Amino acid sequence: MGRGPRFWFPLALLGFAQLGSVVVQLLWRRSRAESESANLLLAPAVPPGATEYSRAQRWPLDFHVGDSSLPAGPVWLVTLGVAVLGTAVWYAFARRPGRVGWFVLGTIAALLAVPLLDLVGSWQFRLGDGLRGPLLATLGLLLLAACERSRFVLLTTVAFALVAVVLSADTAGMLASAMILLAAAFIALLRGSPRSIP
Amino acid sequence: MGCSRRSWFPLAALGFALIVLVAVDLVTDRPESTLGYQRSHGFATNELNGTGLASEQRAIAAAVDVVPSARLGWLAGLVCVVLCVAAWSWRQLRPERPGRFLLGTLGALAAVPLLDLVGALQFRLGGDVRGALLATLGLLVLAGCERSWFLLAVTGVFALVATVFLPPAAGALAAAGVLFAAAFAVLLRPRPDGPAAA
Repeated sequence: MGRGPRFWFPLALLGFAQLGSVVVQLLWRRSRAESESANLLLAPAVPPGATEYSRAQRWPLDFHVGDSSLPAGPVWLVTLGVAVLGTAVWYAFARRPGRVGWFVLGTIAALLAVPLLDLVGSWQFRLGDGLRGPLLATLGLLLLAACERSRFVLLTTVAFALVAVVLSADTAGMLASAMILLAAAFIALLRGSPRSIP
Repeated sequence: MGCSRRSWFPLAALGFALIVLVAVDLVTDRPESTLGYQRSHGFATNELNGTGLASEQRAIAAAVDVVPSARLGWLAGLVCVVLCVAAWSWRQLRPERPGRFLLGTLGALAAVPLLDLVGALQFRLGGDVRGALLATLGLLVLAGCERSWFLLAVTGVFALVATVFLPPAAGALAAAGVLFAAAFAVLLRPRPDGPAAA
C-alpha cells in the first residue's frame, strides 16, 4: 500500500466504476429480438391458410425499444458517488488524517456537491444528460490533481476529458475513458515502484 | 524473485482487449442482435404478413444456424493479446534461445484459430463462448507457467463471469473488471524478498 503514489487508487476506482455502470447498462438493455418475441407472443396468431376479413389495430409492444437503456444522468451520479466514497475511504486509510471531523465533513460535502453540481449544470447551462457526468468527473480529477500537485494526474485528466467529453459522451466513450484511467493507474503504480520499469 | 509479479501484464492486456472488443461492438451496434432475428426481420415487422409466417421463418433461421457466429471479435482480440504478451515478455525476459521463443509464439498464434475451429466443429459452441473459453485456456497456461494458485482462482472466476452473463458484451466487460482487479492485486502484493531489496 505504501508503494508508489497514492493517487493510483482514485483513478482505478473511477475506471472500475465506469466499467460497472456500463455492465449494468448492458444488462439492462433489452434486445430488439426480445421485444419482438413479446409482440409475437401477445399478438393474435393467424394460421397461414386462413382468410382474414378484418384486422384489429395492433399496437406494437416495442415501446421499450426506444429508451431501453438506463437514463444516463442517474447512472453517472451513482458512479461518481461510488468513486467519491471509495476515494475518501482510501485516503482515510492511506493518510490517517489528524482531524477526523473535518475529513468526514469534507467527504459529505463532496458527496453532496455531486448532485448539486449536476442540478446546476442541468438548469443553468442546459447540458445534456450524458455530458454532465463526464464534466463532473473531469472536475473531480482536476481537484485530485490539484491536491496531489501531480502533473501526471493533470495529463490523465486532459486525456479523459478529451475522450469522454469531446469525442463521444456515450457508452463507448465511457469505456474508452475507463481504459485511459486504468492505464494511468497502472503507469502510476509501475512508476512508483523502483525496479519494475527497466 | 517477484516472478508472479510480472504476470500483471497478461492480465491487464487481456482486460484492455476485452474493453476494446466491447467498445467496438457498441460502436458498430446492429439493432438486430441475433442472427435468426435478422433473417426474419422483414417478415416480422411487415404489417401485411401474419405473425404465423414470421415465427415459421424464425424457426427455419434458427434451424439453419447451428453454430451462431460470434458477436464480439474474439479472434482478433486474442491474437493481439498473444502478440502483445510475446513482445512484452521478449523485452522482460530476454530469452536465451530466440528460435524457440519465436516458435512458441507462432504456435500460440496458430493455436488460437485452430482451437476456435475445433470448438466450433466438434463441440458446436457459440462464438462468444468459444472466445471466452480460449481466453480461459490462455489464462490456465499462464497460471501453469507461473505455478500460482491465485492465477488459477482468477481463471475460474473469469470463466464463470465471461460465460454466465447473458449479453456477451456485459460478460466480457465484467470479466475485464475481474482481470483488472487481479492485475492490481498482483502488482500490490508485497514482494517475497521485502520492499527494501529492490
